[in-house]
Amino acid sequence: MTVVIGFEGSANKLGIGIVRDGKVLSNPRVTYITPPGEGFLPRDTAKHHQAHVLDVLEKALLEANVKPSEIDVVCYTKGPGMGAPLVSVAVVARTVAQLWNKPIIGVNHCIGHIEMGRTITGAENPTVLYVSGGNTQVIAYSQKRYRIFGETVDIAVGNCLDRFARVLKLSNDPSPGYNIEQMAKRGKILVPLPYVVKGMDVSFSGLLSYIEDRAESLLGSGQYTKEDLCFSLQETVFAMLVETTERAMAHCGSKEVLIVGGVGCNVRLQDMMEKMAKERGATLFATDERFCIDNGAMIAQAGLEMYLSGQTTKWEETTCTQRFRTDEVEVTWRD
Amino acid sequence: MDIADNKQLVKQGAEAKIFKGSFLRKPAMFKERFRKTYRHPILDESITKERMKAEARSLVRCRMLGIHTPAVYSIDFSTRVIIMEDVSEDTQTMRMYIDNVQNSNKNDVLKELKPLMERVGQIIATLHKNSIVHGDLTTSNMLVKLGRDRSTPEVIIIDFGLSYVDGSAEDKGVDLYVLERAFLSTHPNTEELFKTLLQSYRRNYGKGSSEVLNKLEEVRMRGRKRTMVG
Amino acid sequence: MSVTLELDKSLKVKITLTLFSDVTNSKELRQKLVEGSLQCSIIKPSLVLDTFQLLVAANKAVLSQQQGTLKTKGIYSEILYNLSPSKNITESLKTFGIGENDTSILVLVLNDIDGTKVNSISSVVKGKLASLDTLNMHTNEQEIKKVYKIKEAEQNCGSLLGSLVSRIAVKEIISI
Repeated sequence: MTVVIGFEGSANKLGIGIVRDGKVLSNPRVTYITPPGEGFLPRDTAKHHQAHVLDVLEKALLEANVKPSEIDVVCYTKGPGMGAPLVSVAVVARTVAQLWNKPIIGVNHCIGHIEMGRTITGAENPTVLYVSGGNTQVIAYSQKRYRIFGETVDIAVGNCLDRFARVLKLSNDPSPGYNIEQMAKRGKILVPLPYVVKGMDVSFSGLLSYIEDRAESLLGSGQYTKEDLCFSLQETVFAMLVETTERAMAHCGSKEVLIVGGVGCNVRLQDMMEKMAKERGATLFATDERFCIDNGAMIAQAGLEMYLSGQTTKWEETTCTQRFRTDEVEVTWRD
Repeated sequence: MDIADNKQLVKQGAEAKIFKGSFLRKPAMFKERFRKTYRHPILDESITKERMKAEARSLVRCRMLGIHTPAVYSIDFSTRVIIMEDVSEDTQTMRMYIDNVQNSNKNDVLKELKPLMERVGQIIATLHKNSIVHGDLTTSNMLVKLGRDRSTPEVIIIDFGLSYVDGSAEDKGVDLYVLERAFLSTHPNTEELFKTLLQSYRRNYGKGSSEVLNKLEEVRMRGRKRTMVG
Repeated sequence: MSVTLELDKSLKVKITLTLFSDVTNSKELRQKLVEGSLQCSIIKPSLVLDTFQLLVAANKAVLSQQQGTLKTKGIYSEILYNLSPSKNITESLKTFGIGENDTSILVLVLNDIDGTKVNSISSVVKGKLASLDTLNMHTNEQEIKKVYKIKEAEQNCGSLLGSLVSRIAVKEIISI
């Protein structure tokens, strides 16, 4: 019976979760939401995390009904992500690990998503599409590594969607992506947008510039509504993601596909992926917003896998890193 | 054109089905692109049409540059079919060719495959110098004509489904990176061979190659671990 | 003497090719074509490398006709236009079609079920019926390379015929 606590704060979500043997006992989270039209900056985000972390920690322990002494391992997000927010949370993880005298493990954020996705959905060996504000990768497991088959060559899809939401001045509550999704549901007319797939990689910055530059004139022409633009943006970027995922699946002969990361909450994306999967005789696995969106339990879960397979992080190495590739980690817990 | 009769399905990828048959009494390959129902139908049609155009253009442009590609016999947007020359006779994918050489003659694999690598480097240099980005370079998309002696390998490039014109140095760098990744992950211990390819690329491309190779390095770095300093 | 070949099965169309040499009334034949009293394509054999080239051009023309996307006024002019790498219709018809001083001509008709079309055309041609096997004697490869703009680099890879039909197939989507 191993009880693990995970600390996550690599972007604007601060989450602390407690997991016992694969079961999530608690997973509270607070999100730093900025006014419409604004993105979140590292310094302010770090301040937000600092201000809330002890409350969230207390909540996690209370909800899980777990005492510090009962915790076996402390896990935290080592990276990738924004520097200041990462460190603001890592500091607390280190402190409690010392206070409670527990081993500490630095976890890769992407792997947190993957492992939680696998645990919650039961997918055995899926091709993974990891899509969030900071990351866009198509991943498949092979020989002790989560190999990146395809990724964005510039910005993440979530970043593209978020920035467009700012152009339209949509609310950031609960998240810009959620509000684009709701608008898109009411969109009808497809605006032709640049569709850029390069092999198994995707590119969004050209598309973003295109739509940012033209949004005003498209809306002004009276031909298109904001809903149409949101609809068109989603249809285009999601088609790109499904296409590259399909290509990876074809390459690997995979029968399972798993979507993780904040953008994975999007129902349209899930629908499109499911259609593609069905046509190939494959199955789609997806989680809901509790686990799609950054959370502490996913760090705990991945950390648990690492711990049980013999990994811990040396004290001197409990740093944070903004760049931390998914394929850098040795996946010792899988064959 | 009901594509299925009298034709043999030889490959089914994520994008298209490829059939072997005959067209106007000549051996031909039929590439039928799928409708992707997950996409908005307007988007699907425009993507398919663009891909077909890009593919056909690239095949012909390459030919004009002296790069051996299948001849194009017919393009039909309504059925989403491109009919082209069947070049498969006496050929093997480069992937199989390299595998065979690696498995048979472990001692001087580098020497055996060097002319082939140089030819490939030359071909890609020609593509890139003329602003053509292949978009999906792998050793499965290159055929080697058998029966030729190894010092004059004949290479045929196929599958230009993701190609486009007017690529930037970054695009060309990514083009090389895709090949590098595909090459090294499919054929272990071939770093030296790939170096030969890049050297030939540099030689044949000339001046513009430096920028591309720098971009290749940049793209590699994005993928490579950064050492933490301080 | 004439050779009949089938286009793609789904189109259900056949073409019949007839070669004439020592022709003396090309001017008259050309006039008849312009007037519309001759229903066929008359092609310069010097620019024909292989019957496959004609098949590809004709196949494309019939497909366009069925899809309602003809670029010229009729099927027979369309076949001539398709043979040409140029998008200029007048220029194409002039380059590939019968010239006033031509002494050999290649006649193409569609779906000549009982041979009446060829017979009626033959009756107005003042020349000798030649076997299609002799087509190569009229072919001018140098001229073909010039008209189709086949440069040296291209000549070293693949076949000339492949280069010709490729241009026919992709004409609308490429600028050469």
